Amino acid sequence: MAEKLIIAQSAEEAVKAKTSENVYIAGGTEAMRLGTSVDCDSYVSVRKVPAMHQVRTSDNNISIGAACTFQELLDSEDVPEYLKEALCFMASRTRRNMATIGGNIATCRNDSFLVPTLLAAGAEVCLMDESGETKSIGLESYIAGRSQYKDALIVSILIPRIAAVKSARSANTAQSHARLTAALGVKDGRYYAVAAIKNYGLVKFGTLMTRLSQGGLSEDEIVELFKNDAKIALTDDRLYGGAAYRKYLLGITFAQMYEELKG
Amino acid sequence: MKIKCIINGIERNYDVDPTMRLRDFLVSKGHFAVRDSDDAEGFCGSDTILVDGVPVMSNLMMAGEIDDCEILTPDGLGNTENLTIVQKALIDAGVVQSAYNSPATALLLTWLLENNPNPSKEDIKDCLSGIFIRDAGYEHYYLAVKLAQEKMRDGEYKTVTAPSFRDEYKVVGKPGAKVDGPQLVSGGRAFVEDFVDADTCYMVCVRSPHASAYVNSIDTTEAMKVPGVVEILTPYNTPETHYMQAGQGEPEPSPHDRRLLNLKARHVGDRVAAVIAETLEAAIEARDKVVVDWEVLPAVFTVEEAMAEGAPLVHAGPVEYRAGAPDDLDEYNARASQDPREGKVIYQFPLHADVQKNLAASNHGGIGDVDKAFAEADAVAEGMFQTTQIQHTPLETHICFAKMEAGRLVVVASTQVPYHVRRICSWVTGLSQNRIHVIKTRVGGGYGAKQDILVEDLTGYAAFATGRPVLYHNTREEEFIANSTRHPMRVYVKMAGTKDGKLTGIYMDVKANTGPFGNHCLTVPMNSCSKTLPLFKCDNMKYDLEIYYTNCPPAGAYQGYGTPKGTYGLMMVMCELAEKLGIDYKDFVLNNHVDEGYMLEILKGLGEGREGNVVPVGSCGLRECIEKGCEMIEWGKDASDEAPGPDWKVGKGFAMIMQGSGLPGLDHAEAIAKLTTDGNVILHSGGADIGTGLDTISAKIVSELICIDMDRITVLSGDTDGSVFDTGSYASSGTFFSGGASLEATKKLKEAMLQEAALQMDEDPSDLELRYPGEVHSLKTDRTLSYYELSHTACSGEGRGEMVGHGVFVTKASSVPYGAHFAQVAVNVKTGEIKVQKFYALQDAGTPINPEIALCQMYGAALKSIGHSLYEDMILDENGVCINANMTDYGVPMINEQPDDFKSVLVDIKDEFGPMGAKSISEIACNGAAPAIGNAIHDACGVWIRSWPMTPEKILKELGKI
Repeated sequence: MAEKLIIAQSAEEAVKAKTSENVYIAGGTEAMRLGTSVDCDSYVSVRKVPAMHQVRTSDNNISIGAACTFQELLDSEDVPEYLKEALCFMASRTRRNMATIGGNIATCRNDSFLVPTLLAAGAEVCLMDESGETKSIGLESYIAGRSQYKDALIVSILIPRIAAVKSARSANTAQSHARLTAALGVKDGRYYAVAAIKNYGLVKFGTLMTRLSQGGLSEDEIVELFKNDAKIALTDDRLYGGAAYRKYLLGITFAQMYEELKG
Repeated sequence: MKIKCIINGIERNYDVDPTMRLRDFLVSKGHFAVRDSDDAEGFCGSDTILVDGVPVMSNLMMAGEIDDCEILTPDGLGNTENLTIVQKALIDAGVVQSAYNSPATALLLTWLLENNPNPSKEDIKDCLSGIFIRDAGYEHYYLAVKLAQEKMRDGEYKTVTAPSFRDEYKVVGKPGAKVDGPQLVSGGRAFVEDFVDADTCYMVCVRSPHASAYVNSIDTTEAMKVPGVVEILTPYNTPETHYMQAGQGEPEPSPHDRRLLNLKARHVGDRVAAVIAETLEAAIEARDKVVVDWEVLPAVFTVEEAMAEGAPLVHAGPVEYRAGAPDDLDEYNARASQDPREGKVIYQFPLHADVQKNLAASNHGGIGDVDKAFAEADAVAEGMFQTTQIQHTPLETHICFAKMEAGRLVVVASTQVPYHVRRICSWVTGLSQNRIHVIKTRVGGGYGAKQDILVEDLTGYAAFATGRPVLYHNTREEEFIANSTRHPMRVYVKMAGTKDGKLTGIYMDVKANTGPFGNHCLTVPMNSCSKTLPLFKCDNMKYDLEIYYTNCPPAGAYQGYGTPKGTYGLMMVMCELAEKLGIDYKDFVLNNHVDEGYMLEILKGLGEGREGNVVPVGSCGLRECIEKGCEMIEWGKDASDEAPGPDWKVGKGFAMIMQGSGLPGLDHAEAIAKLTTDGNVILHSGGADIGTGLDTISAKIVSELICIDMDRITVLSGDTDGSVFDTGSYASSGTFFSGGASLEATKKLKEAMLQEAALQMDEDPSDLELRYPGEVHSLKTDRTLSYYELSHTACSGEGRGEMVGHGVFVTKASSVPYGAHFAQVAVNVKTGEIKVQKFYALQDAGTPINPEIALCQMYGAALKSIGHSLYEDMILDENGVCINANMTDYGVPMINEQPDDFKSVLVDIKDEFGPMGAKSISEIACNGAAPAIGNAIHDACGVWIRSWPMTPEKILKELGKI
């Protein structure tokens, strides 16, 4: 009988232990939580892999071990403020002591705390396959092809040390699931706008990105853009708000982040 | 899997199921203070422990993960006899109340101070950001940290924990000495789950997936085959006794409209069968194999749907009356459904109901002539206010353990009403009350939810029917869907006034949604009028009150009853009327509130199904509360410089509030005080301390009258065998009634002691006094007699017996607490966000016997009320399924939602009738937030938000942004 819990001491040991019968687990705040999306009762824990708790800096980038908890990253002097802004979206200190950056990416919930910010920053993930080989791919590609990477282990995340990124979260209370988490990044004059919308999904706003990259938009124009964008097919949600409200909220949120980035 | 770890400093080796939840594992090893309030939702923090010095939620870890780790659990701090500085500071700050996760909080703050000896307010907030508290708010946690720091640094507290009242008393009105504090904060055995026998069986319920459906049949064949299943209870093998679950004095103003298990499900989550098995896993497996054949029926969810012509009927069966049956009852019942699955509705006395129109109860009345007042007014304002369904969310979900012992049913319950539990268990089992013993443990949060006998009835019956010990424990989801909640209400208010600032007319039309059963269906909505209209000096008042059955989750008692909703409508319309009249709202309120001696004619029609007592206003600190609050919040001063940013507008609002102190003429409390043979006191109180400090109140009363220190007094309460009758802790009756009974019992004991001492000392009783530190003293001869000698002699071979005092407290006197709550809010006019920047709760509570505990209860209830006003809402889909039946989605306020500037103030007014001059404190504090915040929002941005919760979306709609 397969072991129900394997506590890996290294990433290599973890990928060797991975089978179709088990899943990786790091902090446990998603896998062990009531109503979890993780449908499995056998685990490979990477919580205690030392290398996966490291934050390493180079000239332009920071490599963050995937098992770093939100709180470890908040306590790190090397982690940039734009990411710390998103890390604070998880309001509970006790959960921040457990939840990991890798876990947040791997579960990729549509109320994700970090994924929009990491996407807007142009993050890459370093994956290790069962042979112990590693490769880096863009986070956007990882998310788009997540099913093909389900047995790969996220060992680290690469983010730029300096990036112009703003993030915002809207929820009923600090602890509630977010109705939306949005991030806007800009690099070399090109904007990247993305939001995780609860009960809808992760959305990249191409029109907004193009219009912002082409030149300035006023607050009203951004709000109108979302209001009239038929591609954003939000419907009224009893829990997270009416379609008109959430579209307006997207617009005003991006407009405010745009102002802050410009400022 | 073999693991090695250190738990609370001791090296341990275990062979564990590696994927077992760590919390379950720790509890199995005796660390039962690691509690679970959210079924591993990662929300409440009751399961917090330290792993290698880091706070984590043990429900979200596996046992195998602690191999080679060092664990500290809350019970690894100090114990009852040896508290740590932090544990003691938490008690002294008044935050250890129902205390289900106080041990976890003590652990977190200990960790904080060890790692950061000088934490800022933000550091403390961050530390407690994963802890949910409902009873005491969070404000005094900052105080607790400060006290602990002072004690560590200076060896003593430098900060006064709370103001003191009444110089003539030594302990009454003074902070300190909560009698159950050490037990609770240290994680000692306290709650029902700590007293469960090892051989217990587990019960789970089969619940309806439909909002309305007949049960055609229940097939238990496959379920009974599951190994370990003991019994499956269904409507077919349980009594047909009709009763209700409301904990109220008998005869209750609630219809008897249910059986233990009904053949008609009336809401999603309604129980129709119960599985009892030797393990929880077996019970769940069997539950999933019970096959119910449903006949789905149309349902109604709102008052409007229930009122509609031809609406589906929630109760369509015949009606009976125990008293006051109408003459046309036979004719009425001839129109009723003859389907036996409907059951019947039995009224103890008429509630002016009509089940054939879904009308559960009604009341209409008033004084003067409102139509004339409206016609002659200079201005009239009106509005329709909608409130939603709110859950109590106690940290300890409903739980009951029951067993048969020596032919008697023993019910171990987390309840506010042990004697009502005994009565209702007697009804459903057929056992007489002498054969039922109810033991109330400490209660991990009630707020009215545990005033209803929601799980004790079925658990008690299951133990009786099977002869086996049975444990039942609600999941958090069941707490939402199968419990009682706050009644959703629709309150229409119309008010008239004249330009000279006089309020001339008030009309209220209240329509309440009681859900499928009529628990408190008259009382709760009645409070929306009876605990609001007596605030106003107004000659013309009228109210229409109708309560409807629907297929929503059940409603019932909730702290404040209907008062928060009536206050919401009245105080917002009053604010609007003042604006229309061109009068400052403060001046308008001050012109029209009642004061001492004003005769409250309006009360005549506002009894609970009978004529009410017309009484004058007694002690009343209303004006002081309003004036002091206006000073504190700088009423009239522009606060736009306090706006958090350019898109924010700031406004101020307030509301005056009132409640009651128990139910005069209905409530009844008793206590027995006795002198032990060594000269100390045991007080047997019928009252139910639900964490609010009632036992401490009783102990303080004994201490004052018998002149001994608190540690020489033990209070035993809430045990139906060991104490005497008390209607229970609800309707703000604890201090006033149960405390009143303790006072009466102690007076009797004192009298008995003086009489006995007079005989022993050969003196006249009138020449004797009791004095500290526990002796009888002769004013005439200066001789003394110690209590030890007094009692020892009385209990000797020639003695006259143990000295005992039996006190009974009943009254028609009404001691009404008053107050005013103030809010300053900032509204972001672009996003609709609302920040409560300041919230000041000022209350006249008579003599606050436990002032630090009283202050925390004000914080807790006010924060709860802020939550109801801004965030909380049980949302049903079109089929009546609650789609946010969990803590995260439901939206309770935590420390991050607490106002930045939060103050509770006790306004000193001594009451004529309450024990030591006390009135009630906690419940009233639920009443003010909605109108205070609503009026402040209007002041900030000009819109009136007339429905709970006041969300950003509603703000934006009113502002025309969406």
